[in-house]
Amino acid sequence: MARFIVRRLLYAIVTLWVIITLTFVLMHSIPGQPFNNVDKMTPTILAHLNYTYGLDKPTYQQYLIYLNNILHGNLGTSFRYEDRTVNSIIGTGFPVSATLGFEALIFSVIIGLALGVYAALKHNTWADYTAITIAVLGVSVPNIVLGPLLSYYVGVKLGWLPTGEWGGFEYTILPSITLGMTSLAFMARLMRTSMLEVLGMDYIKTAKAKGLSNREIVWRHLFRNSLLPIVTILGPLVVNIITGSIVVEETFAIPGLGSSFVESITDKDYTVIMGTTIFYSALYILSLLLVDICYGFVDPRIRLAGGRD
Amino acid sequence: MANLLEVKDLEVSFKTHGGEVQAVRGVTFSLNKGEVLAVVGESGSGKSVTAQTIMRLIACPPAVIKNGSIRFDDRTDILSLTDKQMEAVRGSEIGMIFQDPMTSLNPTMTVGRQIAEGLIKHQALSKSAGLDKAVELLQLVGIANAKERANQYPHQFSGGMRQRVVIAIALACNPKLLIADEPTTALDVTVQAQILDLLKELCDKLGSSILMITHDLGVVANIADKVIVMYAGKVVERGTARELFYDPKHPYTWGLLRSIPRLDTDDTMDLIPIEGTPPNLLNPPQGCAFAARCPYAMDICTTRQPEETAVSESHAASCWLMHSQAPKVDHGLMLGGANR
Repeated sequence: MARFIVRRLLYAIVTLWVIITLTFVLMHSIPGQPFNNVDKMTPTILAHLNYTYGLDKPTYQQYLIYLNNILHGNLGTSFRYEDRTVNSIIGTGFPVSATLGFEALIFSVIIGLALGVYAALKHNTWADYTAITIAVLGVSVPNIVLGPLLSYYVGVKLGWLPTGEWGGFEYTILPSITLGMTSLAFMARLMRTSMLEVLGMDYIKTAKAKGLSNREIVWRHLFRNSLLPIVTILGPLVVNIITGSIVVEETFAIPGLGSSFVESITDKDYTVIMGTTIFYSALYILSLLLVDICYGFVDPRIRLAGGRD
Repeated sequence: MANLLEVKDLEVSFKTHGGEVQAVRGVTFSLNKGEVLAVVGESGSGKSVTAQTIMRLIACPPAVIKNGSIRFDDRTDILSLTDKQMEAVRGSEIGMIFQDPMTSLNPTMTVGRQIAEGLIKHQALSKSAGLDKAVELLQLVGIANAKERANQYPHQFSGGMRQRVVIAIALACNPKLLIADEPTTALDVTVQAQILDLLKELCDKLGSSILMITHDLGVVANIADKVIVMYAGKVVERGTARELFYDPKHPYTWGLLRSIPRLDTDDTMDLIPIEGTPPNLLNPPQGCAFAARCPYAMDICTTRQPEETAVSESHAASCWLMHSQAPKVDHGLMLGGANR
């Protein structure tokens, strides 16, 4: 197991390096510059700015300097806000996004799985159709519609919860629901399909032939085996929820990392673009690794293939 | 010998979009204590449906049990038991072995726990006592290093070993009846023989009866005391294994026997297949279901169903050829084909 993890971490570093290089090249090949209101500054000022941020050096040197900085854990200073480092932007924005994402994830996994299990057990009854209708609605209504609707009806009309901003737990409820809804629906449908597939397996018949009750069969034999496809999509889902929160953060005026990411691109804020991209990529790779490890716990067949347990 | 299982006039249909498929059309047979009864027939003859109905494992709907009774161990009709009562019978009094050992074990549960589950449920054992008993059972079915093996998962076992585990599960609670639904079909030939020997030996030891579903007459010859031959949802011939192999009466049985290959024949003998396909059970024929494929079919065969005619106390067949006015036919039967 340890060897497996070490090997995966090494791969992760190589992957990250490729991502850094690609982002760097792409960013520098877009026309324009971080300091683009040139007509309002004198050439001297521009030259001075470029000198300060190291933009006057040849691109390959900038690249090497950047790599060296990253190795020392320094993601640079924002071009836009001179008093903020990229580390601090991530440091303040990410905990907010992560809290929001985590709550959305818990919400979507628990409700989504429950809905999927319920639908599968009541296969082809009205309960099944209701659950599936909810799931289809959840997949087809985008965040950008659901967010304002919830904010308006629950926040403004009913006045039960705050319509936006970031404070205590009550501020997190509506954005979490908005953010988690798509995943919830996806989860419910996947779980239902998976349960129905496992229900048709021979070993469910074996379990039945042992004289186990339906309840015992569902929890001991059906549930765990149905979870396998869920675990597979969990990794990308986690990252999706955490990074895909830009719309939700805008809708509910939440000071998360998503908005910084989008702004940095329109601002050509090189260091912030690079910093957030690398951060998100690292997160993605890490969660995929975690999922692979989890997979081994759920499915003993994978455990052996991945190395010794 | 007392009757352990008595199936009477069993009729099972499946509701499909195309109509009602009559999979089992009035099957009657009985099984004595300690006996091995083989149910023989080709795919779609209704043998598996019959077996699963005895276990109440077929899903209703789409299946409908239209008629019949299944009496087990001189008690009430299995078909009238509640689900809860049926749970107490399954695994504890009737065990079942399925065809494909590669898929009939749960891939995410250790083998020991899968064996122990039934014991813990039916014999009120503690978890650890159940696991200890599971290790004993693994030894009983001939698995070496049983203690270690009990903690392993099915993918760490070969096909034959898995079938041994499935047998251990089925026999865990000393059931009075073991239903084996083609237990050797998915296995290599050499492993098949081992598994059959094991089954016979264990059931002798435990005093269990076996209901063996198979389409392999070799298996029948090896293990069965009595045989019923099924075709298109009906029993066409019944008898002791001896009677069926040496004095078969039904043309379908003749056909089955002719199509078994033999080791000791040369190329002057041809294997003779049964031409044609079984009838569509959405709309079963009015007369004998085999008439369309039967080389000896007469006019009456296509219009009226033959009654069952007894040959001896244990041997009977449903065929118009056995009628006193029917012509005598010489089927020239030889096991494994016929001379050219």
